[in-house]
Amino acid sequence: MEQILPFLVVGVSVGAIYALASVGLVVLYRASGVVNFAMGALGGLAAMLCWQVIDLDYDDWIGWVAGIGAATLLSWAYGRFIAPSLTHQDRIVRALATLGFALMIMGVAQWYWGDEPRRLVLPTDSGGFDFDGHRLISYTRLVALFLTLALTLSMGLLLSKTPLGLRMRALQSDRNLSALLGVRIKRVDTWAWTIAGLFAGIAGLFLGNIVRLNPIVLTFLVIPSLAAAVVGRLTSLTATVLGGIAIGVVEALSALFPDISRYGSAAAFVVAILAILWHQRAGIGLSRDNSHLE
Amino acid sequence: MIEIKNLTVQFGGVRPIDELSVCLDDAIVGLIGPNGAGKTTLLNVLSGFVAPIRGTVCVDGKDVTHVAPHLRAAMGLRRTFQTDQIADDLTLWENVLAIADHAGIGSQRERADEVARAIEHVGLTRRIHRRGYALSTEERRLAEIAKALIGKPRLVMLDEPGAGMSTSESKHLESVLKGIPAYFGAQLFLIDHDVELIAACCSQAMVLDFGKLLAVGATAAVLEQPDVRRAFLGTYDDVLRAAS
Amino acid sequence: MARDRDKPDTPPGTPLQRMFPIWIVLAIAIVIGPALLSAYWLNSFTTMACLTIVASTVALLYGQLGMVSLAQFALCGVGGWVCLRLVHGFALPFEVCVLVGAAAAGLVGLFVGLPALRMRGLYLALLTLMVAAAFQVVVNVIGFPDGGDGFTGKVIAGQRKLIDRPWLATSDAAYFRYTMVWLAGALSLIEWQRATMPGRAWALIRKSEAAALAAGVSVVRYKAWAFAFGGVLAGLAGGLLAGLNGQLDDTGFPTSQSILAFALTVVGGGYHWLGAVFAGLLMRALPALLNDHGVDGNLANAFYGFALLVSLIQGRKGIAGQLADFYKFVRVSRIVEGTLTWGLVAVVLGFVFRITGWNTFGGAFFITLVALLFRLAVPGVCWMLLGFFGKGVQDWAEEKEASLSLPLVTWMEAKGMVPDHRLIKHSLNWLFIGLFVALVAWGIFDVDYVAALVNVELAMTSIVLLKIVLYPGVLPLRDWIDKRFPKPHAAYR
Repeated sequence: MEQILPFLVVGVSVGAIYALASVGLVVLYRASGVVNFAMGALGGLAAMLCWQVIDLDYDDWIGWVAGIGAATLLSWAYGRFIAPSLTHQDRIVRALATLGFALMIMGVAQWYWGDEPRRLVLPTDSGGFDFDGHRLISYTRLVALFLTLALTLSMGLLLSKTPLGLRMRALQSDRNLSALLGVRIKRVDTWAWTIAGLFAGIAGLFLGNIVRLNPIVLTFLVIPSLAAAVVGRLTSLTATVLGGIAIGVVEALSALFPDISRYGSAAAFVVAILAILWHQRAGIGLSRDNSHLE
Repeated sequence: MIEIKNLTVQFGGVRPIDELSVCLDDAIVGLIGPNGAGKTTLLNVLSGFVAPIRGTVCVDGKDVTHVAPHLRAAMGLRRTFQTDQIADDLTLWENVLAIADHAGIGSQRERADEVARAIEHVGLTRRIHRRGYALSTEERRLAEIAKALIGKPRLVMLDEPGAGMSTSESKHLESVLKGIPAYFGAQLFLIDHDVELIAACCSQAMVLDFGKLLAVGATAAVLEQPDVRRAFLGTYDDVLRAAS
Repeated sequence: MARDRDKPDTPPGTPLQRMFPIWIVLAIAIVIGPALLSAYWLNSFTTMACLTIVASTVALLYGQLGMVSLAQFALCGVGGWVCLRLVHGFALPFEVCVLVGAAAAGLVGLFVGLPALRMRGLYLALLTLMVAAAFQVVVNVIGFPDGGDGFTGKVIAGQRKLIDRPWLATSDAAYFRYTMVWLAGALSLIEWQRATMPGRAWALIRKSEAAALAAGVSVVRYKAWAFAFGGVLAGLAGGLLAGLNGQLDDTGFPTSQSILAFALTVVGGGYHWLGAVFAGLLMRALPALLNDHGVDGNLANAFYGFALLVSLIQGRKGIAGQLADFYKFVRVSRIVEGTLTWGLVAVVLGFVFRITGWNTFGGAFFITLVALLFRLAVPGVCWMLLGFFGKGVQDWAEEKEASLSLPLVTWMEAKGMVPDHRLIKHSLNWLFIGLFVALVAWGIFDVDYVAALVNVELAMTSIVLLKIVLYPGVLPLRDWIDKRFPKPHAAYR
């Protein structure tokens, strides 16, 4: 058990960050029907910008604000200006558009910052809890875990208790009907995109610190987040968080087995396929508008 | 012949169909009812897209309650949808041929004959090479009906075929529908809001109101019933009550 | 539209008729290619052909069935891997290995895609993205076979081996032709299916799965078939790629390439085989060209992302689709007129710039053509950007412009000319586009910015003046040409 504990801890903390980005993803999907492939790219930009600001000798917190702010701003801008031109198209097209957006951000970030090895250092890196003479969990990871739970909880409360959340749920249920009832679609959507950007930015900073500070790597860390969202069937926040943590744990535990340890990053894929198979066991039915199966 | 016994469908807290039992044996049967009465749900049950929690459905003696949708076509059960499903990039001929491809017809020659026959019956022969996107609404509706006539159908279920049609188009539709049992040997089950169309085509009619059977029998008699009139139009009492 | 409906309908071509253009283009490529291109470019185009095959599978799945597969490039890698392993391990003939590799890729594709085929399309997109990522991880670990033993066939210490080209096609030119034949075969197979039963079933399914089910079409079976077939062709391309260089690069199949394969297929056009060709060009030729001019590949990626976005907003028919529409809706007279006027202006400007020494003839010619193309293809850019400031601003600009244009136009008409009624608006747009095109020319082709700008603006102004001046005389000529060569769908004012 002691052998596994450090891996478990790492797994849970990384998984929590996947889950954080994933929660932003799910909230956005629920409100607007768009799967945002650019979550990772936004996070990557946030991390790189934060590093850049700190590198220019500004205070740490300015870097954080700059990074997270940039991610939130870009996401807001996309939701405000670009997403509306796509609302009449189907979900897949709208998701693919975010893929284009992700490529744009990733391309520019990679061009500007390149592949040089860098580190994003957070002040909480140095402290932590020890176990058996080794560092068990740094404060950074603890903060990440705590933030994930707190933010997920607040999202849950937002959706269930606030007027904005009610409108988001109305939009998810029937977009056209909600518009007819007077829900201001553009405004609700824009809020959803802003929230998604915020979550992506925060997750990006942590991932940049814990995993690797590289635009391309960070962009594709959207994949574990997507897998977590799949576990939650793109709707349930709780299942999504559990899925994210599960993916993190599977990834981390795979390091214990030398044969499969190098395939650890494929953990997301395995979890996603299992989740899909599980979801399908209840059978497939007809969608509300009779146009497709789900 | 359609035999429905104790059919009940439940979606969450809603019961679109509640303990429905009816036997429909005329050549052309109509189903009318206010919006939300469960008409399309009944059609979905008959075509296999919705599973009831109770009850059975038998067509020509065979129990089809739990048969998967794509197997029903082979059994001769055909349906159309409220929104038309014509592929835009294919021509009318190709659209109907696509159905014939899967109707278990042997040779290419026979398939072409089937397709030609169905298209001719709905009166669209001069449009066979027109692409889907260039067809008018009426033509698309008729094309949908043609698709349902392929491959020796036993029961053809049409969901609001007359919606949005002008008077002259409705007249043409009437003659098309009336000819289906005669030329294709199939029973026709028709849902529509156009009471005139139902009255003209259907010898037997049933009325659904919030999942329950309100009336069934010869069309003229059914339409005369006060219950039916109240469900559709409301009565003077309802008006008084609303005004007070 | 009454006029549309009175036109006679043309039946779609038979399968053979539809495959015919593919073989014509192939024949031209086979003859011209080796004659004109150096070995480097021949190999580039061979690679492009393989990428076109991959793009055609993406287009098959997306255009025919609306299924998004982000894993096709990864499946290409699978096919290449199996092919290499078989050649090194069993010394079988190249063709056999390529085909077995293709089959393996098809099976892998089917295996991983099957769970998501029954669910909403979004899940398939997500799952295939993960496949692409998983493949990158796997191939980074086990690498591509290069003559070693064991399952992975990787040489640990010692000489890495390349596979030989097939005996039919050892030289670069011969391999180019060889690959082109495979390409034409692949495209033809897809086209043949589109023209017969599978294509019809796919169209039904794309329109409505429920309706297809109700009509007796087994939706899952047809989707699975398309997916497997797409995998097989992608794997085939992988084998051909392996044969080109004798090996495959361990780092050559990153997730970003898989995504790009999809993105560029959409940009090139997912509904026509030419779109796949454009996609192949974009995937291979454009980056090579940009690299030659020192443009970072990452910026190219960013541009592709932008192109995908624009393509999707505009209705996702892609370049091929826009061209097809253009050809369908544009009158022959316009095409003739355009060619003559553009050609004239481009040649004149080419000479002018050559004489003044600011640019070469070819450079000025090319810049002129690009500017005119932009003017045609992206007319409303300036106005669209105004839209970012809100509809109010856009409307105000429209009104201001209209009120200024009116007196100008009235005066010109009084003089007997036939002007453009939104002259000021269009002029502003051209000036704006000119700034951008000149920037591109300066950045990519090392032309002096001011020279490029003058070139571009002169080009656009000349065209306008030319048209205004020539218009009265041109009208009867147009009518005559249109009567000789009518087009059913074109708009006739």
